[in-house]
Amino acid sequence: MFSKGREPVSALLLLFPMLVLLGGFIFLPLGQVFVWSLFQQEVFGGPQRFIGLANFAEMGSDRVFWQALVNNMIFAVLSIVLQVGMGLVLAALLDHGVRRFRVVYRTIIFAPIVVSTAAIGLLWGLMLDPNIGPITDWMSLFGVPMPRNGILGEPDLALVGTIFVGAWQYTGFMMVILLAGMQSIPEELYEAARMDGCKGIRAFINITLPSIRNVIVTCVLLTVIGAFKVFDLVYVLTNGGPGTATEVLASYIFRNAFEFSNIGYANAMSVVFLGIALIFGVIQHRMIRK
Amino acid sequence: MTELKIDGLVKRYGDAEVLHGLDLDVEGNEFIVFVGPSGCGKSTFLRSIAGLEDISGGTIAIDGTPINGLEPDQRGVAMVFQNYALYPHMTVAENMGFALKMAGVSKPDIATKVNAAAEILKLEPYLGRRPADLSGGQRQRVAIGRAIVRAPKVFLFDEPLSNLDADLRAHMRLEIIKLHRQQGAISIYVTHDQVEAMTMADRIVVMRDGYIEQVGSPLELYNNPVNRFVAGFLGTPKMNFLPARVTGLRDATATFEILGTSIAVEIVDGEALSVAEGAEIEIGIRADGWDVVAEGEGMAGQVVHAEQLGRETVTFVMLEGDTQVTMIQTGQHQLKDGEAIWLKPAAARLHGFDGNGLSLPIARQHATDA
Repeated sequence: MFSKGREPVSALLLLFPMLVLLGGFIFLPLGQVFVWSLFQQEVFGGPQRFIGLANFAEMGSDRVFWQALVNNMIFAVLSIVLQVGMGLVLAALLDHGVRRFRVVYRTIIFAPIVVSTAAIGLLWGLMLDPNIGPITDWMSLFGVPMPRNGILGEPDLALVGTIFVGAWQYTGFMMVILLAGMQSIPEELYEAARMDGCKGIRAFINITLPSIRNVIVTCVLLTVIGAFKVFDLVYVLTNGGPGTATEVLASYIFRNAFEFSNIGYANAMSVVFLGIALIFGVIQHRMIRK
Repeated sequence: MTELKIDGLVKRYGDAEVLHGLDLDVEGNEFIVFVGPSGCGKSTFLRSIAGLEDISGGTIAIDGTPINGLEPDQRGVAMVFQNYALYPHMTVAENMGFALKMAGVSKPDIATKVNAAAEILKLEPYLGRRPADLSGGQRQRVAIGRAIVRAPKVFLFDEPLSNLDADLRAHMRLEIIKLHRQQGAISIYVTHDQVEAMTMADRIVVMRDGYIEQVGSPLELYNNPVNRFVAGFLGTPKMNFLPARVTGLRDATATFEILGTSIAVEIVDGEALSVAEGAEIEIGIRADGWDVVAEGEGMAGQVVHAEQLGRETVTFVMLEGDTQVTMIQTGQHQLKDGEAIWLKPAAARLHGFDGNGLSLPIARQHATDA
């Protein structure tokens, strides 16, 4: 690790403050999560009882845990389609379609990312409210029937509604990343493609998409990771409801730890959660082509 | 035999006209070089032929068929770009075959044509590699291969060698010329490097400010430039320009006074000088157009520096009136910095330009005649 002629001791000395911070705030709690996942505990600081892998066994038969996991997956897949898909379309339009006011459009579309997710949750909660929200009125103008309890009050629609709000916030962000990727493609490449008889949608497929492959992979992974750790949006918009229709892993872990007094179980689920996150990390590492 | 005919080509960006009605006829398998300083419109001219720029007026026709309304890939032209413009995500073979793939050519046919081009360019070992794994010269060859595969009637080169180092550039110049002879198509080559123009062209098109200044073979342009611009642009080192005055005009002879030295020159048969006696003109003397004379016979000067190149000596001389000129002598001449020297322009090698910079019809003997 240390090249010849360097002093390992002084290197360690320089790294020490960072190691303390990392150890104290990342590795120590991480280890604690692993340990606590093997115990049953009802109050923070309260008595712990060692139960081995019983917490992990419990997950297998916990219907809500599996629903939360499936919800995360739906969240991920739909978010990829909406955020990365729409982001790509918008970026392509701004890159080659729109000539005027490009910066204005880009700024407007990007804007939602700077608002805190909690505020966006509250805002869209009002927008989608069946009684006072304007969405119901607008939809009725087009003759689109809306559920009586609102989209977020309908078990079959609440998750999709939540995912849509998430996409509303993040699509602009994805667009900006993708657009930056697209704009780094030299114009000469498109000219060469035109000479080769390739333009428009064919140039998008043959030149643009392969050129920003790594950017797309990064965006997809960011979206998936975002979808798996989503908490604030769900908490504010639906709080996991109606029933458990929009429960996701993070919200379910939170609920177990702080509402159901299942601290050991919440830790065990966190371990599984970490495992999933690691898998995506490895996938990302593998898919980025040097 | 291919014929490329350009008539009154005009290109405007908004109100700004950048190409002002250009005409050019190219026939057979000529190698044409567009040369000129930055912003002269040579690249725009080339891109108009390629179809990458829409033209605002005039016609471009290949073999009698106007092509200026056609898409670039329908024109029968292929282009080699300055920065190669290879598709980074495709292999060499895929890069070369991309146009054929877009045109719907079958895979076996593409492979045959790509392999044939790769053989010509000695690219066979690299067909499976990506551009990032190639050297600059190899990338350039792939870019040329991509053009060859399409078997175009006209090859367009946009400063293709400007990213290569000097050695490789000299090598690729020759490679491109050899390829051109093999392919038997028209080649149009844009460069700002007058050495490339002189060494490669069958005919050079010198451009300035969106106009064609002169078209001709390298030696025609070198020996008989139509104006001061062409004279100054072609040739290394650059032509020396000195202020002069017409002091005598008699029959077929004119006398010029250049920095106090009187020189008599012959006028070309049947031509007349467009300037009157007493007119201020400008004299152009190529670096090899000087005679070193005995003390007091010509213009007095001082050696600023002599570059010993072995085969020839390039000397910078400061003449009276703070005019620095360049002189080339074949062979090795021991000249010390600061040494006094007397120079006289060789009358039979002199160029003259009137107040508008147009060439005066002075009879000349060129180096080959001697």
